[in-house]
Amino acid sequence: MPAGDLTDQMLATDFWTDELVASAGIPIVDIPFVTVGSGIGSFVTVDYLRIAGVPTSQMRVLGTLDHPWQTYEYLTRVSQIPRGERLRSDSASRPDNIWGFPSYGFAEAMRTFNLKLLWQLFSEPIFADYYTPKAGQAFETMEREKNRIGYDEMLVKGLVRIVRRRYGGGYFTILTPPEGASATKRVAFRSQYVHLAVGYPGLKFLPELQRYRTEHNDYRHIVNAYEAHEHVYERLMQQPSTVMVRGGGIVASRVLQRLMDDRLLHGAQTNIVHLFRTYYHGTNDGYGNETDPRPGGGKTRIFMRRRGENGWAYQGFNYPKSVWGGQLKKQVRGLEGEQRAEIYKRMGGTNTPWRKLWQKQMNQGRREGWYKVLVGTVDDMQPNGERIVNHVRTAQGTVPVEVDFVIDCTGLEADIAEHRLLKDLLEHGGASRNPSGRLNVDRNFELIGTRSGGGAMYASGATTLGGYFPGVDTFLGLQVAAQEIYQDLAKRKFCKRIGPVRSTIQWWKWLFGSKP
Amino acid sequence: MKESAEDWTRATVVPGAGEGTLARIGPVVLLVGSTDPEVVRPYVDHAQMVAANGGQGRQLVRGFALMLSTAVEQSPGFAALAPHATGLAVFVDGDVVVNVGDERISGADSLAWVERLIPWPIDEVSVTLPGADAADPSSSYRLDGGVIQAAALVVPAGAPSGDSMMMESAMDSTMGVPAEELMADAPTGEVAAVPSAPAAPPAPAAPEPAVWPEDPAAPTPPATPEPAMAEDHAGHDHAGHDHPHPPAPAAPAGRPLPPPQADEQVQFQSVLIGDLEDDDFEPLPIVDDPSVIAEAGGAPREEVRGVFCKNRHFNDPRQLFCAICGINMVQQTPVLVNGIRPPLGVVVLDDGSVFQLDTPYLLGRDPGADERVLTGDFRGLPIIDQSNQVSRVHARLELRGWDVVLIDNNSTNGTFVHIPKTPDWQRMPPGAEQILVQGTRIRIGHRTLAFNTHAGG
Repeated sequence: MPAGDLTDQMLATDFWTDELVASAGIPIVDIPFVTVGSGIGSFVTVDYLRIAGVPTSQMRVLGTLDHPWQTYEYLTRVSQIPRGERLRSDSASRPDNIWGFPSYGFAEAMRTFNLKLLWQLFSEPIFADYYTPKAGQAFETMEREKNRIGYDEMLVKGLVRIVRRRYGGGYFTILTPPEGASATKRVAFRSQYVHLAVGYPGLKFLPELQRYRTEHNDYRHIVNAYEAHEHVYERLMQQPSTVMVRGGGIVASRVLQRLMDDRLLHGAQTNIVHLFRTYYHGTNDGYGNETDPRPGGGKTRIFMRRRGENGWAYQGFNYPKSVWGGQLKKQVRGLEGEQRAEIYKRMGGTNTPWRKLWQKQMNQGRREGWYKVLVGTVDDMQPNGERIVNHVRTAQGTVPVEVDFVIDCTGLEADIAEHRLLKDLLEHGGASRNPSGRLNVDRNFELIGTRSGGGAMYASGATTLGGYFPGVDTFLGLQVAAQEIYQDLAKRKFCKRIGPVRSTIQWWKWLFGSKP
Repeated sequence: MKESAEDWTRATVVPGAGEGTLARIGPVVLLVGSTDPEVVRPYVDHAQMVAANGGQGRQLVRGFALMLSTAVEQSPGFAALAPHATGLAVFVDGDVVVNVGDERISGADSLAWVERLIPWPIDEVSVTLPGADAADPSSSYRLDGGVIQAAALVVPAGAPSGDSMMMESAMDSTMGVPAEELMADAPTGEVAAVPSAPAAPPAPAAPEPAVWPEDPAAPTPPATPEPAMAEDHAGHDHAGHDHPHPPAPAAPAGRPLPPPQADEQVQFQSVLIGDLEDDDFEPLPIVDDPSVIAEAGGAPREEVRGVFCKNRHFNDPRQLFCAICGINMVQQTPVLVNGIRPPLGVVVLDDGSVFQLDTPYLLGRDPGADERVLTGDFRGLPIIDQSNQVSRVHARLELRGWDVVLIDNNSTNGTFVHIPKTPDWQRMPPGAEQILVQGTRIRIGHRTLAFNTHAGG
């Protein structure tokens, strides 16, 4: 085994001593605070701490991404939201600005001097669709803030392999730098505080999709919405074809809009077969249609239901709005175990925003017969020449549906144990799962059970869904988590408190782009 | 005397009353000893299938034999007739009696089924279910196509009813019937209307099984007329009926004509496979050991250095997410290993044709003649263009590691590329190379190609 690698003894030990790490030949770097992930979650947290007066020399961002929005941009771009397009769900906050003022909408209206946009902001959601920013706007403003806070000085590129508690307090975070970037294979970061924002462990493509790909070595007829599949649209522009879209969520709606835009604006002759697994035909909640039986009995609560029609469940907002600061936030903060899991289930479920233009397109498609709906699941997919035969299991039996392309928009999320780092924390770090199966965090986003002496480990983002604060996997959710973490760290004297004076001064600094 | 399949198809079929189901679909005649739609449907389906394939006796016999040998339930007893090149195929199961001329065929003395091939020519043929009366050959009832309730049938001896109005196919079955009758008995086109005789009515008008061709249990989802399925039905209903003569000779005045068929306008020449002079076809090889095929399958797949995702799928080391399962690649420390390269993406030509990049390509006016294509190192991608600006071999696409490289082949008129996020098309210097990124467009002559990859990066 080359020097500087993890030893079997280390892997088997829950608490590491300094001698253990040193004897393995792994160099140790001392730093008070590390955040693992290097995505938007890490960015928002260090942004908060920088504004709270922590210098860049006290923090390190560990991860593989060149810039915080890299994964986000990749996923939005391939799911048909390139920089020029507007994000699909609303953005109540902006990750580059902890105050949320000026909002994206106000900033855009001021910059472009657009009165119509101001009116939309004023009259939403009753008279106008919710305002959402262009994807590019979110990335550009984040880039500005990234440069302002000196993010690149804190970024250490590499893959975080493992986080273990240190004997005597604090943590060791083992990083694998890119090949050739360091003398040893691993580098250890010894820190008082660790923040985990590793995001989704990844997507989980449908098993039949994986099977089809490995069996037939065909990557072009069946694609996932979260990977680049521009060639499908390219081809649809040239030849009249039939496309099957699977899924009823926000990505499916965006992909449909792209297909319809191409058809209506650019003359593509595309026929769309849309496959729903669950068909919503009226008011519903996370358990399904209002008329469906509930596992624990009971009915859809009148204040917790949402609109649905034509198969879709429409969100009132991208999440119940009161989770941010209203009664739902308070309610969930006081719930434990099963009850909390239950309310998450009610709030959850696949849904998509209702958009005027998109609705118009859908109605036209139904009227003219090029948009058709099927309800069921796919048993098997087989190539048939240049086409794909899907054996769709419906309530009426199994029907073969032959199409030219399948765009799978179901995008299942992988389990957190699929993530190597989280799996290790569950097994050796003392972390546990919450009632929804994700990482169990306290109200201050500290990972329950992982405390080590005077140190603390925090987690935020999608891996913590199901905790005392809902909506963690959104921009605002990341900021709420960062605020809680900052407050906890302020109590521990790691950073200063952001009082009225500091807040005001820092906002002006933000406005003029000077360093915090 | 019926001397050929054609004669048989045009013959008269006279039904006899009773409990049972009689179907005549093109050349296939089927009599089943049950009136339960659920029981009878598989037999009718098979008959339809055989008819749709041209009504070959051998297929009929094999299909029914297979059906009976795999069926769980007791068969209700049936007989099926279909013509074959050398005679009439007869398939009998259970206590049903078929008389062909003087020969009597019954399944009663047999444990399984009985099947016979009666050589042409053939006299009178009659089929009778157990306990039913034989049909009367001199009766004026007849069935030209469709499914009705009946317990016996007879195909009378003598020449096929020479009636020049007589149409053999179910579709045109109304042609042989006086117009008044047709008007009076409009509902089903499949069941031949018969003159309403007072005696022994064999329930001719729309008995319940007559809806079978529609297949009531077809799992059509609501509100979704799936195009592929619709075609399928169409095929079953209409395809199998041979039209040896152009239908619709001049009809007498006052008779409603069937709607003209679009197909009749098409001029074509039909050539039977047997008439083709190509005798030098070699039969396809029969391989017992599948491993032989794998070895013969084209050029060996190239190996590249890549990484495995945590679920052991081979990927480009620069990828963020696994191309097969979607898991984030950070879940496993990347270790470069050799593996077989998956397809690196596709090239979409501006006419919509898609070429998968699992092998290098030669692009040009006539790449097929190039030695590298003939040896199988490259695949040809013909660029057909009227502009005369495309060289014979204009450019080539090579796969290097995980990159797709476009190389200009010193073409006369140049190869142009447009890389995303750059403002303009650029002409490649002669012989130059260009690594393609997602969305790159290539222009050769007046044709455009787009490079797309699922990797996206």
